[in-house]
Amino acid sequence: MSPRSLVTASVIAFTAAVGWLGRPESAVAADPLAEYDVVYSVLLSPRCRNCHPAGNAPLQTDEGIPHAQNISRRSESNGLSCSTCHRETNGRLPHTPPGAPHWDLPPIATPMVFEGRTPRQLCEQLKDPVQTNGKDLEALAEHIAADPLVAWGWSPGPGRTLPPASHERTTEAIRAWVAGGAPCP
Amino acid sequence: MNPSRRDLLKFAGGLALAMHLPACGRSSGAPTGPGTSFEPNAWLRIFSDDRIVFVLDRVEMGQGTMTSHVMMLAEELEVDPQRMEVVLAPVDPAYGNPALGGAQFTAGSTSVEGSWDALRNAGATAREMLRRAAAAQWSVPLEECDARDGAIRHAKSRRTATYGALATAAAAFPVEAPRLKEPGEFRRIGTSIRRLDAPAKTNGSAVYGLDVKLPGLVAAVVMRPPARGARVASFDAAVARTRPGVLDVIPLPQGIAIVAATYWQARRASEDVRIAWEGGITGASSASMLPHYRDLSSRPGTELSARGDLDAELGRAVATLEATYEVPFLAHAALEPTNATAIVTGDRCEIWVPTQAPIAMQMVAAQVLGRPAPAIQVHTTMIGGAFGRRTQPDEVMDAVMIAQRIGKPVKVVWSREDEMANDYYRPMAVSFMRGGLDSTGALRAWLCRLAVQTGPLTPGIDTEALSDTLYAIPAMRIQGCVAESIVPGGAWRSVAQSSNTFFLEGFLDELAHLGGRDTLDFRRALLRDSPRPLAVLEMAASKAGWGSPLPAGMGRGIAQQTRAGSHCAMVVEAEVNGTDVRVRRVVAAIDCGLVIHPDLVRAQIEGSIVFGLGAALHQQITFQDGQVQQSNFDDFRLLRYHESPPIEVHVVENTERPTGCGEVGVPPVAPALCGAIFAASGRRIRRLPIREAMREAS
Repeated sequence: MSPRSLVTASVIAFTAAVGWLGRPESAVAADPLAEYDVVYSVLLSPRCRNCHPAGNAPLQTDEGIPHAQNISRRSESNGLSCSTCHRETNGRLPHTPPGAPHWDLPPIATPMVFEGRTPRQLCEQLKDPVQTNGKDLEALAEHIAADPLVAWGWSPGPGRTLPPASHERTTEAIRAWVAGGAPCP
Repeated sequence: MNPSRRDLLKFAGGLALAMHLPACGRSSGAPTGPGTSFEPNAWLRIFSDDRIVFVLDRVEMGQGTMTSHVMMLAEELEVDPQRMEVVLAPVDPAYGNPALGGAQFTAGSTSVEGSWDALRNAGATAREMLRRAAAAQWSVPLEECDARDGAIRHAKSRRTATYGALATAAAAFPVEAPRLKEPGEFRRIGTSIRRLDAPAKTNGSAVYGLDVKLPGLVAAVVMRPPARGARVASFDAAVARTRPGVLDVIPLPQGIAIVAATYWQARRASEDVRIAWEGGITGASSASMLPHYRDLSSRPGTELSARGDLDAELGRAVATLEATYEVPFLAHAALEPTNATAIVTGDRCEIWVPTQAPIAMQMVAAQVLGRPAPAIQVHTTMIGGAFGRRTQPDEVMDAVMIAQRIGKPVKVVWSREDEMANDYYRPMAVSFMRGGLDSTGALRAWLCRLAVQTGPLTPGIDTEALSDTLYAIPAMRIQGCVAESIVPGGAWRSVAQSSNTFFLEGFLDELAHLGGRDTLDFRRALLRDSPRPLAVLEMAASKAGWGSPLPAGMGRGIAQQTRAGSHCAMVVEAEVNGTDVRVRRVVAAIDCGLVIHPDLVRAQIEGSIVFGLGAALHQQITFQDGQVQQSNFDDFRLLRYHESPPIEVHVVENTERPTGCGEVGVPPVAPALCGAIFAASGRRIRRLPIREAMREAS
């Protein structure tokens, strides 16, 4: 290698290194499938899964047991809204009801089930506007980024575990997955 | 300062048992009202305006005494039970429970049996006095005066006088030992009348301890140590005292009390109290206690009970089996939070408390205040579940100590977390067993070593369901291996039977399998000398379709138990899928002698099954460095609707003496379910709770 080309190579390498160091992690040609894995791991975590059950009853605890107070879509349709007990903020003491704005289950017409879904099944569900109640992928990413009920997952009150990735990282991951063409595993 | 249940029983056993009218002029705490009244005995007041008041001497904790006991008296008095007003008895020797040595306790499934003679006699005595008063008033022969529906009728002269109209006169006609009805003559006993407490409990007017309201009532919470028995070394309540509603912060021997205008204010302020604790049962850790118990049970212990020549029978056995079974500590977890309300003034102390043992509460309050027991008035309220926990006085001690200090009426309420960490737990126990079969697969010999900490092992209490088993086992030996008592133990629904039946029935299931015998046949042979429990076993098996095929992955188990004179057997059908267990059906049969109220009996057994399934599947209390690791219903789970199976209860009809059914339905649940799991999957559960055992075994 000539000295000139050596210098050029060094400059390129240096520039690349500086550039790489100065840019956010996700923009480094993120692997959309790997990013989807992050999204999947979060959506299947107890904090998200418990309000996206396969049945009509919300779940509780990391184990995912049916709501101990016997609440379901049926109780809601009979006039007992979730916000009766789940207010806009968490109860301050252990074992008091958690809370966030518009605490609710997904509607029965579009139940958006996470519980028991394989990565591929959940991926296809996220991309199907019929199942997401008309939300396209950008709207979905925005929902993850900004919805206060989603944000509750990372401040769930005393005694509750957090999802495996931070809210910021999850937002980044879903955006990167969408930007990369939203491939399914 | 903290008398044990047994001490209280001993104490109360020494009380004179007065089954008679309280002395004239003595205030028994029973109700008074307008008009003169007729008080033929401690349970009954008939007023001239026709009010008929029944003084209930066994507390109503959901089990139905308010209905069954009124029925017993009303049957002989000839009054519609629904017409009667019911008040809960004050503390008085007249209300002692003859089935518990005269102690005024509601416990041990003894309420019906203990009151059966006295209440019928009370009703009959009053009826005869009223008949005599009418006969005298009308100058007609006594035999022509009929008692019916709250009135005496003389058919020939078409005259009628209500009990109220005769009340004043009746007191002048004392009656000794009136004739009681034969079972064939009963008009109300044996029918499922509407529960007398149902209206008040559905319209919200029933007063539980938590509902007590008094003028000027304040609220208190008591911060208790994280490790039981610890003392306050120092505390800082400066911030808490500034919080809204806070009236005072008071150090007590058992912790720090925060007194405020409302419960929530006191609870919120308690977060701001900084406490340094010292001492306590910091040596209690389940991780070390369980191996210690196993070790104890592996070596010979104190002989508690023996029958036949065990060594010779074991020597002759063609097949032997050894197994170790284990049960955890359990909390009572009754739905009504632990609470007590008290007023202590110059010479007056009144307590309102949902208690099974008003006399014990009176004694404890008297000790705390240094006053004579009769100066303490105890008002028993409705009770939202008890299960043995509400024989303990801790909340009453809290209330009287605080009330004395602040000079105001105070209601102490424990949080669920307070209660889980400060219970008197069903003791943890380990049982090593050895069994020997003959060539036909019949059980000849059984050794059981019991490692349990209830203080000194008491043959007959700690060995219930083992030493007194009705199974015809030629040779058996029960040994006790006493573990040091660190954790406070207590009576839980069915007491030691809740553990011991799991040990014995589970082991029998294994022995039946070892000998190639059907588990029902195996038990049938062992109950050959006990016709009543055998009939109950047969009934449960036939109603459940024992032996008929089940889908793959499902199995049936069976178990039976005798408690307080009643016999209960049940068949559980369960489905096993990997580590997941689903109970699909429970069929129970119960023989509790003559049935007062069939629906109450069914309700008790249904409740026992739901209670027992929750415990068997989910529940345990564990310790780490003296601290209880469970705190609420998220980690001490009750059975919920989504897990509740269809339940069938078949009640045997006979005319034997009526006996209790509040507990006998609990012990068979866990072993019958474990038998079903084995039949479904081949997996043997020897440790409760089941869900944890299933996960560990995988």
